[in-house]
Amino acid sequence: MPAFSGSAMIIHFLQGSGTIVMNGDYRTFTYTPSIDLADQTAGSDTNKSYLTTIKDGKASFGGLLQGTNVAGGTLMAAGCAEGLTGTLKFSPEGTALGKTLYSMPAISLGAAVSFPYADVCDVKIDFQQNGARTEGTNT
Amino acid sequence: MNYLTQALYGTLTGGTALKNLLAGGTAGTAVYYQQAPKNAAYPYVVFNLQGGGDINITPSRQKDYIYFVRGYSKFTPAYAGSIDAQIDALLHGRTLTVTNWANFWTARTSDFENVETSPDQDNVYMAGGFYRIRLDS
Repeated sequence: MPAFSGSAMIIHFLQGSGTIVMNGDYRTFTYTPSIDLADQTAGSDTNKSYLTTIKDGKASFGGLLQGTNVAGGTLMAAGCAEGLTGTLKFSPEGTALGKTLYSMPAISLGAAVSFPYADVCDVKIDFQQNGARTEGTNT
Repeated sequence: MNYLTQALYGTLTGGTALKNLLAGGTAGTAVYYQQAPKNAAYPYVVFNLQGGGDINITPSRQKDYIYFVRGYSKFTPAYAGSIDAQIDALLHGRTLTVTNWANFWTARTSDFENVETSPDQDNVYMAGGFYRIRLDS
Protein backbone atom coordinates (compact mmCIF):
# COMPACT_ATOMS: atom_id res chain seq x y z
CA MET A 1 0.00 0.00 0.00
CA PRO A 2 1.69 3.19 -1.06
CA ALA A 3 2.15 6.06 1.34
CA PHE A 4 1.04 9.48 0.24
CA SER A 5 1.83 13.08 1.05
CA GLY A 6 -0.64 15.83 1.85
CA SER A 7 -0.06 17.60 -1.44
CA ALA A 8 -3.40 16.49 -2.88
CA MET A 9 -5.42 17.58 0.18
CA ILE A 10 -8.71 19.33 -0.46
CA ILE A 11 -10.32 21.13 2.52
CA HIS A 12 -13.70 22.84 2.42
CA PHE A 13 -15.70 24.53 5.16
CA LEU A 14 -19.32 24.82 4.07
CA GLN A 15 -21.07 27.52 6.09
CA GLY A 16 -24.07 29.78 5.67
CA SER A 17 -22.54 32.25 3.25
CA GLY A 18 -20.89 29.68 0.99
CA THR A 19 -18.00 27.27 0.72
CA ILE A 20 -14.62 28.34 2.03
CA VAL A 21 -11.89 26.60 0.04
CA MET A 22 -8.98 26.30 2.44
CA ASN A 23 -6.42 24.18 0.62
CA GLY A 24 -4.96 26.86 -1.67
CA ASP A 25 -2.18 27.85 0.72
CA TYR A 26 -2.42 25.17 3.35
CA ARG A 27 0.63 23.81 5.12
CA THR A 28 -0.75 21.46 7.74
CA PHE A 29 -4.07 19.89 8.58
CA THR A 30 -4.74 17.58 11.46
CA TYR A 31 -7.84 15.83 12.63
CA THR A 32 -7.85 14.26 16.07
CA PRO A 33 -10.79 12.12 17.14
CA SER A 34 -11.34 11.44 20.81
CA ILE A 35 -13.78 9.76 23.12
CA ASP A 36 -14.81 10.37 26.69
CA LEU A 37 -14.19 7.58 29.13
CA ALA A 38 -15.98 6.54 32.31
CA ASP A 39 -13.77 5.04 34.94
CA GLN A 40 -15.21 1.66 35.95
CA THR A 41 -12.40 0.64 38.22
CA ALA A 42 -13.79 -0.82 41.43
CA GLY A 43 -13.31 -3.24 44.25
CA SER A 44 -10.08 -5.18 44.19
CA ASP A 45 -9.10 -4.11 40.67
CA THR A 46 -5.38 -3.59 40.34
CA ASN A 47 -5.60 -1.91 36.96
CA LYS A 48 -7.87 0.86 35.84
CA SER A 49 -10.51 0.07 33.30
CA TYR A 50 -12.92 2.30 31.38
CA LEU A 51 -16.20 2.42 29.58
CA THR A 52 -16.29 4.34 26.34
CA THR A 53 -18.95 7.03 26.25
CA ILE A 54 -19.20 10.07 23.96
CA LYS A 55 -17.16 10.58 20.80
CA ASP A 56 -15.61 13.92 19.96
CA GLY A 57 -13.02 15.40 17.62
CA LYS A 58 -11.04 18.47 16.68
CA ALA A 59 -9.47 19.61 13.46
CA SER A 60 -6.75 22.16 12.98
CA PHE A 61 -5.79 23.93 9.77
CA GLY A 62 -2.56 25.87 9.25
CA GLY A 63 -1.60 27.79 6.15
CA LEU A 64 -0.17 30.91 4.64
CA LEU A 65 -2.19 34.05 5.11
CA GLN A 66 -2.88 35.91 1.91
CA GLY A 67 -3.79 39.58 1.86
CA THR A 68 -6.86 41.74 1.91
CA ASN A 69 -9.88 40.51 -0.04
CA VAL A 70 -8.01 37.44 -1.26
CA ALA A 71 -9.49 33.96 -1.02
CA GLY A 72 -6.74 32.71 1.27
CA GLY A 73 -6.57 35.98 3.18
CA THR A 74 -9.20 38.10 4.86
CA LEU A 75 -11.99 36.32 2.98
CA MET A 76 -11.00 32.96 4.45
CA ALA A 77 -10.49 34.46 7.90
CA ALA A 78 -13.95 36.03 7.77
CA GLY A 79 -15.49 32.84 6.43
CA CYS A 80 -14.04 30.92 9.35
CA ALA A 81 -14.71 33.50 12.04
CA GLU A 82 -15.10 32.16 15.56
CA GLY A 83 -18.56 30.77 16.21
CA LEU A 84 -19.48 30.07 12.61
CA THR A 85 -20.98 26.65 12.17
CA GLY A 86 -21.03 24.50 9.09
CA THR A 87 -19.70 21.30 7.59
CA LEU A 88 -16.02 20.55 7.42
CA LYS A 89 -15.01 18.27 4.57
CA PHE A 90 -11.53 17.09 3.73
CA SER A 91 -10.14 14.67 1.19
CA PRO A 92 -6.51 13.80 1.98
CA GLU A 93 -5.86 12.13 -1.38
CA GLY A 94 -7.85 14.60 -3.45
CA THR A 95 -11.37 14.38 -4.76
CA ALA A 96 -10.95 11.73 -7.43
CA LEU A 97 -13.65 9.07 -7.56
CA GLY A 98 -13.32 6.64 -4.68
CA LYS A 99 -10.81 8.62 -2.63
CA THR A 100 -11.50 9.06 1.08
CA LEU A 101 -13.78 11.89 2.13
CA TYR A 102 -14.17 12.91 5.75
CA SER A 103 -17.18 15.03 6.65
CA MET A 104 -18.46 16.39 9.94
CA PRO A 105 -20.51 19.21 11.38
CA ALA A 106 -18.08 21.69 12.89
CA ILE A 107 -17.81 24.97 14.73
CA SER A 108 -14.98 27.25 13.76
CA LEU A 109 -12.98 28.49 16.72
CA GLY A 110 -11.66 31.41 14.68
CA ALA A 111 -8.63 32.42 12.64
CA ALA A 112 -5.48 32.85 14.72
CA VAL A 113 -3.06 34.92 12.67
CA SER A 114 0.67 35.46 13.03
CA PHE A 115 2.66 38.33 11.56
CA PRO A 116 6.43 37.74 11.87
CA TYR A 117 8.60 40.56 10.56
CA ALA A 118 10.97 38.37 8.57
CA ASP A 119 8.80 35.55 7.39
CA VAL A 120 5.50 34.86 5.72
CA CYS A 121 2.35 35.55 7.72
CA ASP A 122 0.29 32.54 8.54
CA VAL A 123 -3.10 31.56 9.88
CA LYS A 124 -4.29 28.71 12.09
CA ILE A 125 -7.95 27.76 12.31
CA ASP A 126 -9.24 25.18 14.76
CA PHE A 127 -12.56 23.43 14.42
CA GLN A 128 -14.61 21.69 17.07
CA GLN A 129 -16.47 18.67 15.77
CA ASN A 130 -20.18 19.25 16.34
CA GLY A 131 -21.77 15.89 15.62
CA ALA A 132 -21.00 12.58 14.02
CA ARG A 133 -18.06 12.19 11.68
CA THR A 134 -18.58 10.27 8.48
CA GLU A 135 -15.87 8.61 6.47
CA GLY A 136 -16.90 7.90 2.92
CA THR A 137 -15.50 8.29 -0.53
CA ASN A 138 -15.71 10.94 -3.17
CA THR A 139 -18.29 10.19 -5.81
CA MET B 1 14.40 32.63 -13.87
CA ASN B 2 14.04 35.21 -16.59
CA TYR B 3 11.24 36.87 -14.67
CA LEU B 4 13.49 37.76 -11.75
CA THR B 5 16.51 38.57 -13.88
CA GLN B 6 14.40 41.06 -15.79
CA ALA B 7 12.93 42.50 -12.60
CA LEU B 8 16.35 43.04 -11.05
CA TYR B 9 17.80 44.46 -14.24
CA GLY B 10 14.87 46.86 -14.55
CA THR B 11 15.19 47.95 -10.95
CA LEU B 12 18.95 48.50 -11.12
CA THR B 13 18.92 50.30 -14.45
CA GLY B 14 16.02 52.41 -13.21
CA GLY B 15 18.12 53.92 -10.44
CA THR B 16 19.45 57.29 -11.56
CA ALA B 17 21.81 57.71 -8.61
CA LEU B 18 23.28 54.29 -9.30
CA LYS B 19 23.69 54.87 -13.02
CA ASN B 20 25.42 58.19 -12.35
CA LEU B 21 28.22 56.17 -10.74
CA LEU B 22 28.58 53.72 -13.63
CA ALA B 23 30.22 53.83 -17.03
CA GLY B 24 28.04 55.70 -19.47
CA GLY B 25 26.19 57.57 -16.73
CA THR B 26 22.43 57.84 -16.97
CA ALA B 27 22.59 57.17 -20.70
CA GLY B 28 24.29 53.84 -20.17
CA THR B 29 23.25 50.45 -18.92
CA ALA B 30 26.43 49.19 -17.25
CA VAL B 31 24.49 46.53 -15.39
CA TYR B 32 25.17 42.95 -16.35
CA TYR B 33 23.83 39.54 -15.49
CA GLN B 34 26.31 36.85 -14.46
CA GLN B 35 29.35 38.44 -16.12
CA ALA B 36 30.31 41.74 -17.76
CA PRO B 37 31.07 41.55 -21.46
CA LYS B 38 34.67 41.44 -22.59
CA ASN B 39 36.26 44.90 -22.40
CA ALA B 40 33.24 46.43 -20.65
CA ALA B 41 34.12 49.85 -19.30
CA TYR B 42 34.36 50.29 -15.54
CA PRO B 43 32.60 50.97 -13.25
CA TYR B 44 29.76 48.54 -13.63
CA VAL B 45 27.36 46.31 -11.74
CA VAL B 46 27.08 42.55 -12.02
CA PHE B 47 24.39 40.43 -10.44
CA ASN B 48 23.83 36.69 -10.43
CA LEU B 49 21.75 33.97 -8.86
CA GLN B 50 23.66 32.30 -6.03
CA GLY B 51 21.05 29.69 -5.18
CA GLY B 52 17.56 28.93 -4.06
CA GLY B 53 14.35 27.84 -5.68
CA ASP B 54 11.00 26.37 -4.79
CA ILE B 55 9.99 26.05 -1.15
CA ASN B 56 7.34 23.35 -1.63
CA ILE B 57 5.49 23.93 1.61
CA THR B 58 2.08 24.76 0.20
CA PRO B 59 0.08 23.96 -2.94
CA SER B 60 0.70 27.52 -4.11
CA ARG B 61 4.18 28.07 -5.48
CA GLN B 62 6.79 30.02 -3.55
CA LYS B 63 10.36 30.88 -4.44
CA ASP B 64 13.23 31.75 -2.16
CA TYR B 65 16.38 33.00 -3.89
CA ILE B 66 19.72 34.50 -2.98
CA TYR B 67 21.15 36.97 -5.47
CA PHE B 68 24.62 38.47 -5.35
CA VAL B 69 24.65 42.06 -6.56
CA ARG B 70 27.88 44.04 -6.60
CA GLY B 71 29.69 46.94 -8.16
CA TYR B 72 33.18 46.92 -9.71
CA SER B 73 35.44 49.93 -9.95
CA LYS B 74 39.08 50.59 -10.79
CA PHE B 75 39.05 53.88 -8.85
CA THR B 76 39.06 53.07 -5.14
CA PRO B 77 37.42 50.65 -2.73
CA ALA B 78 35.32 53.57 -1.53
CA TYR B 79 33.96 54.13 -5.03
CA ALA B 80 32.91 50.48 -5.23
CA GLY B 81 31.34 50.98 -1.82
CA SER B 82 29.35 53.94 -3.13
CA ILE B 83 27.98 51.80 -5.93
CA ASP B 84 27.09 49.16 -3.39
CA ALA B 85 25.26 51.75 -1.28
CA GLN B 86 23.12 52.74 -4.25
CA ILE B 87 22.37 49.09 -5.03
CA ASP B 88 21.35 48.67 -1.40
CA ALA B 89 19.04 51.68 -1.63
CA LEU B 90 17.31 50.14 -4.64
CA LEU B 91 16.88 46.64 -3.24
CA HIS B 92 16.89 46.34 0.55
CA GLY B 93 13.35 46.34 1.88
CA ARG B 94 11.93 47.18 -1.53
CA THR B 95 9.22 45.41 -3.49
CA LEU B 96 10.29 44.29 -6.94
CA THR B 97 7.88 44.18 -9.83
CA VAL B 98 8.10 40.58 -11.04
CA THR B 99 5.89 39.34 -13.86
CA ASN B 100 3.36 36.75 -12.62
CA TRP B 101 4.82 36.76 -9.10
CA ALA B 102 4.32 38.76 -5.93
CA ASN B 103 7.56 39.81 -4.25
CA PHE B 104 6.92 39.83 -0.52
CA TRP B 105 10.49 39.89 0.79
CA THR B 106 13.66 41.48 -0.53
CA ALA B 107 16.40 42.02 2.02
CA ARG B 108 20.14 42.19 2.19
CA THR B 109 21.52 39.27 4.15
CA SER B 110 25.30 39.65 4.01
CA ASP B 111 28.04 41.84 2.56
CA PHE B 112 31.10 41.04 0.49
CA GLU B 113 34.06 43.12 -0.66
CA ASN B 114 37.34 42.20 -2.33
CA VAL B 115 39.93 43.27 -4.84
CA GLU B 116 41.04 41.50 -8.00
CA THR B 117 43.93 42.14 -10.31
CA SER B 118 42.91 42.55 -13.89
CA PRO B 119 45.00 41.09 -16.77
CA ASP B 120 46.47 44.56 -17.32
CA GLN B 121 47.58 44.62 -13.65
CA ASP B 122 45.03 47.16 -12.49
CA ASN B 123 43.25 46.73 -9.18
CA VAL B 124 39.55 46.15 -9.59
CA TYR B 125 37.62 46.82 -6.40
CA MET B 126 34.37 45.06 -5.73
CA ALA B 127 31.70 45.77 -3.11
CA GLY B 128 28.30 44.20 -2.91
CA GLY B 129 25.81 42.16 -0.99
CA PHE B 130 23.72 39.05 -1.02
CA TYR B 131 19.99 39.64 -1.22
CA ARG B 132 17.30 37.22 -0.26
CA ILE B 133 14.33 37.52 -2.59
CA ARG B 134 11.10 35.66 -1.89
CA LEU B 135 8.21 35.34 -4.30
CA ASP B 136 4.68 34.01 -4.04
CA SER B 137 2.64 32.88 -7.03
